[in-house]
Amino acid sequence: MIQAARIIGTGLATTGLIGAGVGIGVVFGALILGVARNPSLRGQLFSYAILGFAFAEATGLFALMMAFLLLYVA
Amino acid sequence: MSNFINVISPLDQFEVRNLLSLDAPILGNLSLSLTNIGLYLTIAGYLVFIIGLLSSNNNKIVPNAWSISQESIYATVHSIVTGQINEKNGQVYFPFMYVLFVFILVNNLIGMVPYSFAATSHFILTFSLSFTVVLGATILGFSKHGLKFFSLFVPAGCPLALLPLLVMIEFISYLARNVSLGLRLAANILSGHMLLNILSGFTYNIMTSGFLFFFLGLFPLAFIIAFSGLELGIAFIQAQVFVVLSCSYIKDGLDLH
Amino acid sequence: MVSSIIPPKAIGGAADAARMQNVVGFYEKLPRGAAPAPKPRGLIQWYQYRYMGQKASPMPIVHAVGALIFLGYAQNYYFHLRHHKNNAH
Repeated sequence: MIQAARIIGTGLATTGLIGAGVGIGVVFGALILGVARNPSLRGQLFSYAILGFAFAEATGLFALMMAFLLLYVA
Repeated sequence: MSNFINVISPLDQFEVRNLLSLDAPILGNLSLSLTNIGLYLTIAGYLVFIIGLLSSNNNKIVPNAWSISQESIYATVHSIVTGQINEKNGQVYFPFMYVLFVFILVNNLIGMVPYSFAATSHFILTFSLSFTVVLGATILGFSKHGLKFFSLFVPAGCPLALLPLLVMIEFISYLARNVSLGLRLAANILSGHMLLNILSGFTYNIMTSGFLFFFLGLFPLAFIIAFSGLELGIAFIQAQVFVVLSCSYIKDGLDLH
Repeated sequence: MVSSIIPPKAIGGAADAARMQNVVGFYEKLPRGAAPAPKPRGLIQWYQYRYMGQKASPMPIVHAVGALIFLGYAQNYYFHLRHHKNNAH
């Protein structure tokens, strides 16, 4: 019973990754628009995009971490 | 559940095991052990040290490829530190940031080697690093500005009525910095390795099921290989993000805005 | 006629000439030609000369990764793979 609840909770927790997908898409979409306006890509925009990707990915992975904690540890 | 004694979970690859241990009933049950995480951290330290010593190209001014790699890591971290903190006075924090960057990068990369052990996937390691950095930045702010440090929590141009709520929110977000900095690194490395472990287990089951399934299993195998490439990129990116954020927190402590 | 004013014997002529003689004397005593290529003595210097000298190659990285794979496989075998010799989970 507890095992079933644990598995259901894991599945629910992984829906947090929707936010990660949306966030990464927004970051790189903004990168494409910014480069289209002003192709100073090698200057700053790409490094800011990688920074933004890391933050968006990190937030999604907080949710994935809760999912793994529920599945294997709790 | 107790019938399954050999349940293999993907968390097994992260288990800290004693390689050599010494247990003695002296001095209150002494128990010293060399664990696998200790071994891999030591290997990382020696690797960085030896590569740094041997890349010098006999102190020639013209660099070979090894000297250029060392110089480029130096220049990357130097540009991060002087760009984030201060152009002229920020170099004081450069040795600390360089060590942080190289430590995290080399441990991430050693974790990517097959059959190896990712030391930075352990929350205790990354939390100790991030708590140290944020506590140090706070102490720096207090020693430089005294009680005016708390003006960090008041954003500029804020209406007076919202002030208590905003200060509380800013304070909680400042406390969350300790956890989020270390959690980001450990969560990225841990989830990457665990995902690779789970996918490889499934792909192994597919590919050993029959002749046709061997060729069908090449598609998930290609995805696993591509994901390993992404993990390699994540190893670099997470080291850089950790250092950029640490420099930003030190700047907040020094400049209060 | 011209050689009396070129090189110019100006105000601090004697002191400048003495300083210049110091400099010229220092550089005369240094060895000339290209620096001698250092011969490697000992295991570490041999390794540096072979892989990280003029022929800089990425082989040390391959060696390090190979050593890590060997070490990791040995640990995994001792702790985990020994018990899976005839059954895969």
